[in-house]
Amino acid sequence: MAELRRVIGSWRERPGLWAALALVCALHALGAAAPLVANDAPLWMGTPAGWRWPALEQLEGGERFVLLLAPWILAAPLWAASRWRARIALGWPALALLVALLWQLLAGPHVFIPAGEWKRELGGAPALFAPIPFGQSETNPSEPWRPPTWLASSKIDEQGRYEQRAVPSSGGLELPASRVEVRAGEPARNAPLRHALGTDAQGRDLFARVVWGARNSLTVGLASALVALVLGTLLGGLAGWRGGRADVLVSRAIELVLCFPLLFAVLLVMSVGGGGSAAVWTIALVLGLSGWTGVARLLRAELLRLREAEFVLAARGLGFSELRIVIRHALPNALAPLIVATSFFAGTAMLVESAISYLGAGLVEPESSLGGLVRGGTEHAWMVIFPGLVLALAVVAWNLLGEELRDWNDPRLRGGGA
Amino acid sequence: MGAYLRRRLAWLLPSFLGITLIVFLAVRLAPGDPALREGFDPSSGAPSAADLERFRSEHLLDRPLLVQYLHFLGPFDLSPRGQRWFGGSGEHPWSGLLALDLGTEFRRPHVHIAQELGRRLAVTAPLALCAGLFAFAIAIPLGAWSAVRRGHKRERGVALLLFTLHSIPGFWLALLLVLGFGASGLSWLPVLGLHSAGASELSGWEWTLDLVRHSILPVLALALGSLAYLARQVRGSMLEALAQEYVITARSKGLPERVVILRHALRNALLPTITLAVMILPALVGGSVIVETIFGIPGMGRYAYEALLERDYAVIQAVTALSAFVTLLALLFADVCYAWADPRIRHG
Repeated sequence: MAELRRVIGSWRERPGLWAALALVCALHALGAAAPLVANDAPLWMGTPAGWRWPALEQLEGGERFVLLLAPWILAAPLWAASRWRARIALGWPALALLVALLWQLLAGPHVFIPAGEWKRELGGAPALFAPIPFGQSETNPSEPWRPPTWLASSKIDEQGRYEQRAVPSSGGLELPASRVEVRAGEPARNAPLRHALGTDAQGRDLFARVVWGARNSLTVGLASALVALVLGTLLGGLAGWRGGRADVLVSRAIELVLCFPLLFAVLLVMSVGGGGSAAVWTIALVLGLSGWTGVARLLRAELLRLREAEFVLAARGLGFSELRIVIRHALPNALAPLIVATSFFAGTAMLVESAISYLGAGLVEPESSLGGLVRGGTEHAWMVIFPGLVLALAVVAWNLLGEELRDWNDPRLRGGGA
Repeated sequence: MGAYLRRRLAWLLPSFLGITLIVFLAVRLAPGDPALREGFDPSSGAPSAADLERFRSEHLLDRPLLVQYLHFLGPFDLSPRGQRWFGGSGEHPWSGLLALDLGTEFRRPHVHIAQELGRRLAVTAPLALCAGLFAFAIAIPLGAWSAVRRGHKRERGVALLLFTLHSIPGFWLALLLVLGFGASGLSWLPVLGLHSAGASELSGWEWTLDLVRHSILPVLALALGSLAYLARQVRGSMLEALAQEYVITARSKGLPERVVILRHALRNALLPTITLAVMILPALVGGSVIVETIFGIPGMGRYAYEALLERDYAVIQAVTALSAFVTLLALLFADVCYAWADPRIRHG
C-alpha cells in the first residue's frame, strides 16, 4: 500500500493526476451501475401484493456483485487519499461478495423477463424508473432511426409522421407511419429527453445502448490491462532478473507479438470468441495476450538497472532468497513504470476492441460495445458521434492517467510542469 | 558488427516460422468451414457432397494439421497431384512458402494469390507510403517546435490537440471525415473508391487530379493517428536532447540557436525515431483494413478482411506471412541502424 501511495502521490501535489483518476473511476462506476442507470424494468414498484424491485431481481449473481462494487469504484480516489483507506479498500469488496452470496441464497437466481415486459404488466401501479427508462434491447418499432429528440427535425406528429420532412431518413424508403407508442414510465412523445441520443434501426434507445456498450468496452479495457500486467510482470521479470537465455527468448517473443497487426487480433477473437456475455472475457484475454509486451519491456529495463543496485546487493549479502529480493526489494521500486504502462495499455485495448467490434468480429447482439454501436449506423451522424465521443472520453481518461503518472514518477519532469 | 548481424539474422527464421505456425493454428481453429462458405463457386449452385469431398481433399482439409502445415510451408507439394516422393502424381512437385509459391485462392481457384496480392499492394502501398511520409513530414518539425517552445500558450494548445488525436479511435476519425467532407456534410471531397465512375475516359492530368481528390481523405485518416503518436515521441526525445551537456557546450561556443537546435539537438533526437518509423508499420497495415473498408478501396487490408470472412485459409495465411515478414525485416533494419549508431548495443 505504501508503495502505491508513493506512485500516485497526494492530490495536493498533483491535482491533474487525481482528476484523471477520478474520471476513470467515475466512468467505471457508471458502467458497473448500468442496471440502475438505463433499464426498462422499474427500479421499484408498488404492487397490491407488496413492493418489488424488478431491476434488481433480473440481475445475475456476478452482476449483483459488480453493482455492489460501483460505489466503491466511484469512491476509490477518496479512499486512496484518506488515512483509513487500507481497511475500506480491502473490506468493501469482501463485504460486497458476502452480500452478493447472501442475496443469491435468499432471493435465488435471477428472473428472466423479456425486454419491455414490465412496462406492459405495470398497469396503474406506482413505480420508479431508472434515469433512462429504456433497456438496451428494448425496441420501439414506431421510432426507427429517430434523431436525438432535442433536435427540431425529430418532432413527430399525432399520426406518427415527422413534422419537418415527409421521408424519414431510412435508406430513402417511406415507412408506413404509425403512432408513437409511449409506454409506462417513458417521457412524452416529443419530450426533448425522450431519446436524448436518438435511436437505431429497430428504435432502440441509443443512450441506453451507449451506457451498456460502455460497460462492456470498459470491462474489456480493464480486464485486458490486468492480464497484460500479470503476464508482462512475470515474463519481463524473468527476462530482466535472470538475463541470459531467458532474456533472449522473451525479447524474441516480444518481437513476435509486435509483428501481429490488428487483423490478427480480429482473427484470434473470431477463433476463440464464444457467443453471449462470455465473449467480453475472451476478447479481453486475447488483447491481454497481445499487450503484455509494453509492461514486459519496461519492467525488464528497470530490473536490469535494479539488479546491480546497492540495496539489492545488500539484501543478497544478508542471505535473502532471490524470490524475496525480487518481490520485496526490486518490484516495489519498479512499480511506477508498471502502473504507467498498464494505464496506457487499458486505453489502447479499448481502441483495439472498438476497431474489432467496428469490423464486426466482436460481441454479438444483443450484447454490444461502443465500436459495435458505430457499426450499426454509419450513415447517421448521431449513431457515429455519440458512441465515439464516449469511447474517446474513456481512452482520454486512461491516457491522461498514464501521462500524469509518468510525469509524477519521472524526477526530471517532477515540478517542471509538462 | 558482423557478429551482431549474424546473431540477429539467425533469429529471423525461427521468429518467422513461429508467426506462421500461430497464424496457421488460429485460422484452423476458427469456427466455419471454407468448403461451405456461400458463393465459393457461384456457377454450380449448392455444392453436392462429392463436390465438398473433392474440395476438401484438393486443399488437404481432410489431412492432419501437421501435414497441412508442412504443405503450406513447402517446398514440397503434399496434395494428391503433388510431389511423387510423398505419394502424389508428380504434376506439381513444388509449392508453399519456401518454394515462394503462395498457391491459388480457395474461392476463385484460377486466381493466383501472389498476382492478386501484387495488384492489391499496388493500391495499399502508395496510400500507406503517402500517409507515412505525411505523418513524418508534419510530426518531426511539430515535435521539435513544441519541445523548443515547451510550456508556451500555443504549444499547450498543440499538445492538447495531439493528445486528443492520439486518443481517439481511427475508424471514428475516418467516419467523421466522411460525414464532414462527404456528400452528407460539406460535400467537398468524394468518399468512395479511388476513382470516379468513368475515370478511364479522363485525360492524363484530369485522371491524376481525380485520383488525388479521392485519396486525400483516406491518407488523412491513415496518417492522423500515427502523426500524433510520432509528434509526441519526437517532442519527448527532443526535450531529452536539449537537456544534454553537448547542447550547453554548443550554446556556450556562441553558435546561433538555429544551428544548436537543428544540428546538435534534433539530429540526436531523431535517432529513436528510426525505430518508431518501424513501429508504425503494423499500425498502418492494421489501419488500412479499416480505412479501406470505410472508403471502399480494393486494397490489401480489404482483401485480407474479406478472406477472413470467407474463411479463405490460403489468402489469410499468405497475407499474414507477408506482413509478418516485412515487419520482421523492418524491425531488424531498425535494430541494425541502432547498433550501427550506438556501439553499446553492438557489443552488449
